[in-house]
Amino acid sequence: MITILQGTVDLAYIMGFILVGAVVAFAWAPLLSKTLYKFNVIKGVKTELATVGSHSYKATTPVMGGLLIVVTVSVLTYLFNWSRSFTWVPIGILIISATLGAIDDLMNVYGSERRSRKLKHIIALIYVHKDWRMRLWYIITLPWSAFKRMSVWFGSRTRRGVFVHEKLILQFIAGTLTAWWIYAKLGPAWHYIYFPFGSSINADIFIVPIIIFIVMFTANAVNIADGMDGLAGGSLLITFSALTLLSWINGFGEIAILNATTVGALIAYTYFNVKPARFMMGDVGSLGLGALLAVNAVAIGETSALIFLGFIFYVEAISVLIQIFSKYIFGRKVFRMAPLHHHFELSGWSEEKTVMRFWVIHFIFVIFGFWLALH
Amino acid sequence: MNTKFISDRALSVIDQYLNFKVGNATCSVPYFNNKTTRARLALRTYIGKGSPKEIFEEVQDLLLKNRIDLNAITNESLKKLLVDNNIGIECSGFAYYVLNAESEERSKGALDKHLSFINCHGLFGKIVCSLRPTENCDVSTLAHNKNSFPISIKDTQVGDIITMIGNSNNENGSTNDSTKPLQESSQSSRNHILIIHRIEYQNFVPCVIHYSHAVSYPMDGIYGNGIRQGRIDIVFPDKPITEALWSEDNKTGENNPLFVRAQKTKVEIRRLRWF
Repeated sequence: MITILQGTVDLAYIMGFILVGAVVAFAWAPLLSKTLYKFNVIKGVKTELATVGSHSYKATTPVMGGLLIVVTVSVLTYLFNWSRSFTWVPIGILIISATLGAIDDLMNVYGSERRSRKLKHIIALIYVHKDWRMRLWYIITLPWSAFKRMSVWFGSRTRRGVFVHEKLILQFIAGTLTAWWIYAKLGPAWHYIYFPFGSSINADIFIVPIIIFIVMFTANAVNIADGMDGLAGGSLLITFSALTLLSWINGFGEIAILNATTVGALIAYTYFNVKPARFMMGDVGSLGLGALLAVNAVAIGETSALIFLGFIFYVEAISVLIQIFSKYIFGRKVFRMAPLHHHFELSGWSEEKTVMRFWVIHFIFVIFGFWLALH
Repeated sequence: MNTKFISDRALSVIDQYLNFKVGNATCSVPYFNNKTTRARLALRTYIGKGSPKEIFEEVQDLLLKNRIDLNAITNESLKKLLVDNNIGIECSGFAYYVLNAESEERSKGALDKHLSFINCHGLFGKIVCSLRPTENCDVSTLAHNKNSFPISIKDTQVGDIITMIGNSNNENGSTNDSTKPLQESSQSSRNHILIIHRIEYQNFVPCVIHYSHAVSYPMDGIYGNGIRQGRIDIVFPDKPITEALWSEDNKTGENNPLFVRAQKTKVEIRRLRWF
């Protein structure tokens, strides 16, 4: 177990940051809410289900509410918890991922429709375009066009936002930055993956792709789970609370404070996000917080416990993967709709029932993950 | 006169397609062939290969998504919903599920365990066929000698199939059918299959063959196609089946588009090898 800073920060001091985070977030939430409504930051219907019955109000609920958390956490960390060793990179990853999410949100709200040109069309243009510079441009960018087209075959489609393959590239950069920080800057102790009951594996250089994968997968998992009022917010609240305690127990005072600030901001966010939501998290919040969750868990040496700490997010992400796999390979659906929360909703559960049951299940698994992490 | 029916299980499958019921509405499942959209890696419900249960589940989800009250849906709106969302069944898909039910009823197991997928080549093709047997079972597969063999009218039994392979126009060299309306043009160049679900015998010789099939005739329009049933009155059991009296929807002879089509194609009555 990594315990280099144990006892350096008082638990009461850490808890204070939960209050500070909550108070600050509550204080400027009305301003954010007014701004989002003023500029009509409305994504429209995210899924077909969003138009159904009690969901119809969502068509007029603004997105990018995740800014409440991202800005609060970033500013408070910069002012009171700025540590070159421990908070620079997590905040950097949070901001990179949140920026990516913000671009996606803004493109979805204000952007024009995007299309992907077929490869044979591009090849035809290479032959027939009247401008030789354009022909040269098409030749140079042909590998990128081929990659784009291949991604579209695998389901990377969008009307207005960022394509999946573009998202993945940016997330890969964020993951690589995290991996570099953990591998090169934090030291050899972080080359290990620690398992409960004292066992560990020295992954050495292979920790880099593992971390990249964890960061990318977790960020997308949280993004996928953000499909119902209060679901992602409440679940993240549980996860970051556990992570705060684990960071403190493992002796990472700065990361514990960072997590505590996030918990505070999440309390305010969830207050406004429970049904009927005043605003929705959007990709700006879900991608940012997903990446932050992964970075913080890896940084405090709880990589293996992360499976349980982010249980509901991974279940949601895996449900999407299963659905896509089954659809493409077998031509059948496993769930009535993916992610999993929509499956239960179509099966007759109300949104409130689904969200609260997911919270309870998530809480149980987070407790289990916490218990494992203590061993 | 003696009458024989296909098994209850297979009849039930035909009935589920023919009288597709959602809420209080009933319609026949429309015809849909993926050659019109060429969707790849899609749900089989959307490529004309869905079972009645899969189609029903998809319709339920569509009703929810489109905020349509289950009890308010009418026969016409149900058919429109299916057609507009590319939900339907093609002739070989329909035949697959009926024959599969019949095969299981006869304790022969699932159809894909016996079928030889003649259009699947190489290791990758075989893997694809084993994963998606329904989608890779077309008329030419069922009509291939590895899977079925031709039989005479006298030997015809329920559960046999009538296949229509090729197009006599094309065989005669007139391959350019671009002058025809699109639907008719593409339709006539496709193979077709009918399922014999009932036979009336006289002196142990079939005198009336009743069939079911999924079909779209040009005159059906967009919303008029789907599962149909018809009969073939055998006048001369020793002569080819194309010389019998084909009737469907009160149309006989040259007025029956299926009969016209049968005149142009290679028509055979075939029996699956394991039946």
